Amino acid sequence: MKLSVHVCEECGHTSIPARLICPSCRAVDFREEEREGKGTVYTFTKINISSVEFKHLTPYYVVIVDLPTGERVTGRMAEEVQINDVVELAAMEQGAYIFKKCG
Amino acid sequence: MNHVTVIGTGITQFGTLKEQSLKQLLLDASFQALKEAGFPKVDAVFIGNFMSGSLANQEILGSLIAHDLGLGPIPTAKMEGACASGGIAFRHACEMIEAGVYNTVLVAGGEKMKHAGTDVVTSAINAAMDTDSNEKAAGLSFPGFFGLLANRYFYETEATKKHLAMVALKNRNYALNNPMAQYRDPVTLEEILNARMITEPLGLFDCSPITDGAAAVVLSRGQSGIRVIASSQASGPTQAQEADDLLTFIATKTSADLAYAQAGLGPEDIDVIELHDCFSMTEILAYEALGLAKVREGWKLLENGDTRHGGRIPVNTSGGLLSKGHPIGATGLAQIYQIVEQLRGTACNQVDGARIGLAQNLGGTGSYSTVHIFTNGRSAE
Ligand SMILES: [Zn+2]
Repeated sequence: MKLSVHVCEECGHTSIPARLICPSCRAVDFREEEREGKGTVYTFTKINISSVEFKHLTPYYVVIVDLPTGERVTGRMAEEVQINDVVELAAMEQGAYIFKKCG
Repeated sequence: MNHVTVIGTGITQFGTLKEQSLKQLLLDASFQALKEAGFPKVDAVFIGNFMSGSLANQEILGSLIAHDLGLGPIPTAKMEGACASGGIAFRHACEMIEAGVYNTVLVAGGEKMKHAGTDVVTSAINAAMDTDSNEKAAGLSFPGFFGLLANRYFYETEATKKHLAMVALKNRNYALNNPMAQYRDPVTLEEILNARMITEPLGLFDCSPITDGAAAVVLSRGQSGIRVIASSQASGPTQAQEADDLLTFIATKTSADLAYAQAGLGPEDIDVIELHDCFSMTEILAYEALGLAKVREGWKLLENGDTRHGGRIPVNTSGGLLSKGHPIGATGLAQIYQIVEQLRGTACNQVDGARIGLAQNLGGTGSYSTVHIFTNGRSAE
């Protein structure tokens, strides 16, 4: 599954969240581009105790995933995971990127 | 020559304070500080607080304190920067005195958290993350953020969960001697390592507790008291996915570099430190950002015993946030309280001959940091 990123028209700086001013060059024009939502786990944590709105999901994993195109994106997984595992975007749920292991 | 100096300090018990409201806690600490300062004419009041609206149903804290203490029609404000609220309030008082706007400022910080259920407190604390972000939507929490850091840190270094436990144990051992601390019962390294997991690899003892409490300081322009020789603040990313290096708190590093430059000092000149150990992992990363250790080598200070008594530079001699407790808005001022006590020579866990002390206060997931450096004006022996 693909995910969209915001790219600065001036310097090419990319970010997952939309921006008004480029933190890199201060330009104000951006375009959206799609990226393949597949990458490697940079780090993770297993959340046993969550805030009340996520309690029904515990235990779950929050992961930060590095895309080969250079972006870094935070998401959630149900499966056990380790650093460097290859994962892919499987769904968007209420604003969250949901990843699953590949293969 | 006149300086910005601390001329009075006050603190309440930290822990579960059922009988007192947030206002009463702030008044208690403020009264102590004003009394110690000899009840000077106060020109302004700044309050450090994070969640008084959501948890204590109380705002207008500055005005309340000025009114109830009979300080007159002076300007007041509450300052919010999550866990750095106290440090930010203190810094603004320093700046205003430095600029000649005020001569004497009362700075107080407090939080009332224990009466609310854990679910309510946890949600309120998570307000210090970006509510619009995909990270919060993924179920990332405060302890979760520091769990992400710890797993990456373990991957990049030889540090393990044992080093986190060594931070928690050191700070608990200091808290045993601090009568104001929330946790004064001894624990063992094994108990810490085997405690239930919160956000792996962080267990119960790796996380600061929910606490009631307040602290206050009177700052003035003059020659007596403990001098503030550096006051700095910086900001950092509000989302983990946006950090250039997740393991370097850029806010802490920037504020530390600014403070050392202002004071004309380096980390090797500091005798005692209170730093922001909201989680055991945070203390190790703060060692690095404050320049006590090289990047990715903070854990080695624990192996060497460098940051406890007998070591190179004792850190968190109050017990730290982990064991003294973390009433969020009070924390920055409680750190300063301990450093002032150290420089007066009257602290619990006194460091012999301490002349220069540093306090570092972090807010959010590395989103704010303040650093203050203090001296008692004595020269080295
Ligand atoms: Zn740009």
